[in-house]
Amino acid sequence: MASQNVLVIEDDPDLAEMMTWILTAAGFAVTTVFNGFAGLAALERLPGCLVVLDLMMPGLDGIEFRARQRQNPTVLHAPVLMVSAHHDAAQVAARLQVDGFLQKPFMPDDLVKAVKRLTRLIAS
Amino acid sequence: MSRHNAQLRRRPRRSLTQQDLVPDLGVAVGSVALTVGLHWATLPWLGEGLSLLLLASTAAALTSWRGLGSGMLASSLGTTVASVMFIQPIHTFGVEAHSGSVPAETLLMFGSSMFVCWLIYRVRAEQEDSDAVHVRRNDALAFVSHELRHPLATVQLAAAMLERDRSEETRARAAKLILSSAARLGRVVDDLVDVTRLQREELRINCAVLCLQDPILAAVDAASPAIAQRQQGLEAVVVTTPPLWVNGDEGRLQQVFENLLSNASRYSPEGAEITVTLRQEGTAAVVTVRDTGLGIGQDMLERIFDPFVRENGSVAEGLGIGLTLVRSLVSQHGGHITASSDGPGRGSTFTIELPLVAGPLMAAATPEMAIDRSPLKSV
Repeated sequence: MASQNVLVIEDDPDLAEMMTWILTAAGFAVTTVFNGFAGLAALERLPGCLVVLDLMMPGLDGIEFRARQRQNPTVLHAPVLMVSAHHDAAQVAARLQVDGFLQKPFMPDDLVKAVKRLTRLIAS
Repeated sequence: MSRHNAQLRRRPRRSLTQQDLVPDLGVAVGSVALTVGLHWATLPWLGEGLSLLLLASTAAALTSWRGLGSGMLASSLGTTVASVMFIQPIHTFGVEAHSGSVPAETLLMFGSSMFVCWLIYRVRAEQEDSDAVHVRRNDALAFVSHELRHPLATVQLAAAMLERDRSEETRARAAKLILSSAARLGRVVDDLVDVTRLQREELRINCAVLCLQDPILAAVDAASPAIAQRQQGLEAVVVTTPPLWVNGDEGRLQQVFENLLSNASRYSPEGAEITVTLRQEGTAAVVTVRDTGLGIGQDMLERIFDPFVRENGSVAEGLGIGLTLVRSLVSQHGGHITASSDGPGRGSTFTIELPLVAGPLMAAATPEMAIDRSPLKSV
C-alpha cells in the first residue's frame, strides 16, 4: 500500500526539517515547501494529500493560503492540520475551520497522531 | 491586535487631502446648515449671541469626528454664514449694535473656533501616536513569544527523537538542529538586549580602521546556509582590490549586513535571487543588498526603519527591530541607509553608504587600483 502524501508548509527551515523527519519516520511520504505560494502549487500537484500548515509565514500566510484553498475546487477538500507558535492561533484555526490544530512546541507523537487522524478523515 | 487596529482606523484623519475634500466639505456644509436652522428656529427665545457659539461647537465636534480638515471648513463656513445671516437681521430686528464691534467679535470667534479645532486635532494625534506605539509593543511581545517557541519546538522534537533512537545518524541530525536552534535563541536574546540598549540610547560601537570587505564577506558566509536551505540564490559581487577602509566596529558591521541578508531571504520566496554588491563612489563605500522577493509598498518605505514595524502586517519571524538596529548602527558609523522598491512583489534594495578613510594600503594605491571594480568573490 502506498504511503499517504503529506505536504508540510513551514517557513522555519529547522522546524520544517524536524517535521519532515518525524513524519517520514512514521511512514508518510512527505513533501516540504517553505512558503504558502509554493504550498498551493504543490497541493495542486499532489491530489489526495493532507496539509500540515504553518500559520505565520511571510508572503502568503496560513490565513491567505486557506482562503485561496477554499476558492480552488481542485484542492478544496485537502484536510489541513494547522501548526503555530502564535498565542492566538487556536482561535484563528477555529475561525478558518481547519481539520486540526497543534500549538508549538509539540511532541513528535502529537504530530503523528494528528496526521493519522487526518488520514482517517481522508479514508472516510 | 485586530481590535487595536480597528480603533486606530476610527481616529480622525490627520490632514486634509484632495481625496477627502469633497466629503469633508459636504459634511461641513450639512452641519453648518443644520446648526443655522436650529439657531434660526430658536432665535426669538435664545438671542443672536448663541449662533457663533453653536457654530464653533459644531466645528470642534467635526474636528473630533472627521479630522482637522472638516472642522476647519465648518469653522470658516460657519463664521461667514453667521456674519451674513445674523448680523444683518440684528439691525433688521431693531437691535442696536456698536459700530465696528461685530466684525471684531466675528474675527475673535473665528480665531477661537480655529484654535479649538487645532487643539482637538493635536490631542487626538497625540493619542493616536501613543496608541500606535502601544499596539506595536504588544505585537512585539507576541512576536518575542513566537520567536522563542519556534526554536524551542525544534529542540524539544530533536531531543524526543534522540530519546527513542540513539543511532549515529539520528545523533548527528538532532545535534545539527539543536545547535541551529540554540544559535537562533541566542540571536533573539541578543536582539532583545540590543533593543533595550537602543531605547536607552546605550547602543555603542568600538571603532577601528578596518577593511569593509571583511565584515561583508563574513556576513555572506554566515547567511549562506540559511539562504541555501530556502533554495534561494546568493551572489556577492564585492571588490577586494583595493581594500576599502572604513572606521568601524567589525562585529557590528557584520551584524548590519547579516541582518539585511536575513531580511532579504525571509521576505523572498523559494528560487529568489539575493545580490550583495560593494563599490566605491568618490569618498564613500556603497553596499547594496538586493532581492527579487516580496518588495515593499510605497507607504511602508517611509516607516520600514521604525521599531516594531513590519511590511504588510507581515508575520515573518523576527522581532521587527532589525532594520531599526541597522539604521542606528549605520548612522553611528557616519553613514546612511536607504530602502527602495518598485512595489509589492517586485523585490527591494537596501543601499548603505559609509565614508571611506585612509588605510595603510589606500595611501599607496594607484588611481588605476582605486577604480578597479572587478569582483573578487562570488558565492
